[in-house]
Amino acid sequence: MIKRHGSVFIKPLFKGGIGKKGKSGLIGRTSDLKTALKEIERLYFAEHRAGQISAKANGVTIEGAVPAEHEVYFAITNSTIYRAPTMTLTHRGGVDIEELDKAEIAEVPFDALTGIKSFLIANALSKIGASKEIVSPLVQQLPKLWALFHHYGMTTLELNPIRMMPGKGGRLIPVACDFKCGFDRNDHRWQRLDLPAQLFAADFSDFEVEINQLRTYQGQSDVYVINDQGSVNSAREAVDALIELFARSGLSDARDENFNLNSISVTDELGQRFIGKETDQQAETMMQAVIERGVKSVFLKFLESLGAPLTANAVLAGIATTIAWGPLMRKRISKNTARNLPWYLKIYAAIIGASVEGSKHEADRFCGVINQSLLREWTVGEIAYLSLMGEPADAQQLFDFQILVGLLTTNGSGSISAQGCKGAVSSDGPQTPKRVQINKAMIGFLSHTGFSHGGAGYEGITFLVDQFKDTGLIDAGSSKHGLGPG
Amino acid sequence: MNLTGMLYGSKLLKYVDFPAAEVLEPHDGEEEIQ
Repeated sequence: MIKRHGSVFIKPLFKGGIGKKGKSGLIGRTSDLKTALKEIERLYFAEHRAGQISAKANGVTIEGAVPAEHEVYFAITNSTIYRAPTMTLTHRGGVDIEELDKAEIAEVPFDALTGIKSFLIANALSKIGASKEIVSPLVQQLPKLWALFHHYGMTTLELNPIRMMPGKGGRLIPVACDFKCGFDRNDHRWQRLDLPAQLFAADFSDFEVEINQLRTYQGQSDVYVINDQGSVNSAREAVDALIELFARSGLSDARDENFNLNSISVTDELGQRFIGKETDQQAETMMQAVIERGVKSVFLKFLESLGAPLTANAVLAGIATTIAWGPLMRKRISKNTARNLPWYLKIYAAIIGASVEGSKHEADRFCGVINQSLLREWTVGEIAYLSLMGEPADAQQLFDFQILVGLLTTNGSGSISAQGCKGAVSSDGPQTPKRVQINKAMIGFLSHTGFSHGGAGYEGITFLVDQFKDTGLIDAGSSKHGLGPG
Repeated sequence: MNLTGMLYGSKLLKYVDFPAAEVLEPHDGEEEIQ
């Protein structure tokens, strides 16, 4: 190759797409074999960071040098500005396009039905003042790239540089010397290209690989857990572990503290789901609050028996599994619902917290009540009432509030708010419930709860408050309300 | 899903008969380089 081309370029081979290799000194050029071998050794496992992306090479490519006076940049993208496929072209290629004067760059939207026509290229090159000798070869060759872009499901295609190599009779031939493209993974036409599957392996997480195996048909939209180290997953995995450990133990009452824990043997793998590297203050506070409330729980007792620092999510999982165990054993709820219970609890807590203004969130208290008191004495209903009404509830008010919340959250499966919930998660795949994201369901519910339909009652309550606020009515439930006839 | 470089780029460009720089495969030896 060196004999044929005079010199060669040696470039590291990265999976997926990563740019700016030249600027990082990761492109070697040589005209002798000895240096070529040294460059191969240097670049074979080169590490590279461009912006947020970092990658390690696994191999090199060796490319023949192309002599040329002119270098051209060409790209096709789907422009969100023009809402049309758009070609970008400049005769000052071989550099970062951002470094060029805008007058030297042609940006031309075109109709996807007709593709890139020759006159579009000729006009664009003329407008930016390109040398006449490069116009004709480019007009002849560049329209082919639309076929590549369009027929194989690409979202971007960039050639930089295209070097204009003198051919027979001095006529210039555009030769692509670097290539970059993106594919729409839901457009299966890229599979026609017979590219090796492992080429895109780095683009898929383990979870996505699993989802792809579960796919019922191509083109189905997928949502996946972006952060598997997030605030919810470890709690769900801890619930999974508790269910796995106790499923065949004969435990029927999760509050039966006489249950013999010696029958439960924990493997290291399962045990790791509960244990942190160091003492977790939140976990200790939660556990202490549970003890002071006099709560009985086989699962919390089991977690304590591990004799290691627990994570807050493990304690949350213990609490959630205690609540879920009875319905789960009676098959009233699915295992998936049980494992998602910590997620529900965290979202309910966030909703209650977000319903009051920031000034009522203090380091040691919430709505004026100290944290220790909330943890050890208050029910969730009492805290929710305090948040919404701005004052503690008495027994009657709390009862009324619980009835109201019950009505709101069980408003019939055909209600608009429930449809919002269903709509929000339907794209996650009802066929595979593990993929459904509870937080999105909640957002769908909240965004579909309006003024007028059943359950919300905002205008109805406002109307009634206006009507009765000056009547002196104290107890709306009393038959002796003293208002009007009767 | 992104793809960079001429190793596969040159193969894709062949589908539409667009001229591309010559590229050696990673397993090619010293003779081919020379």
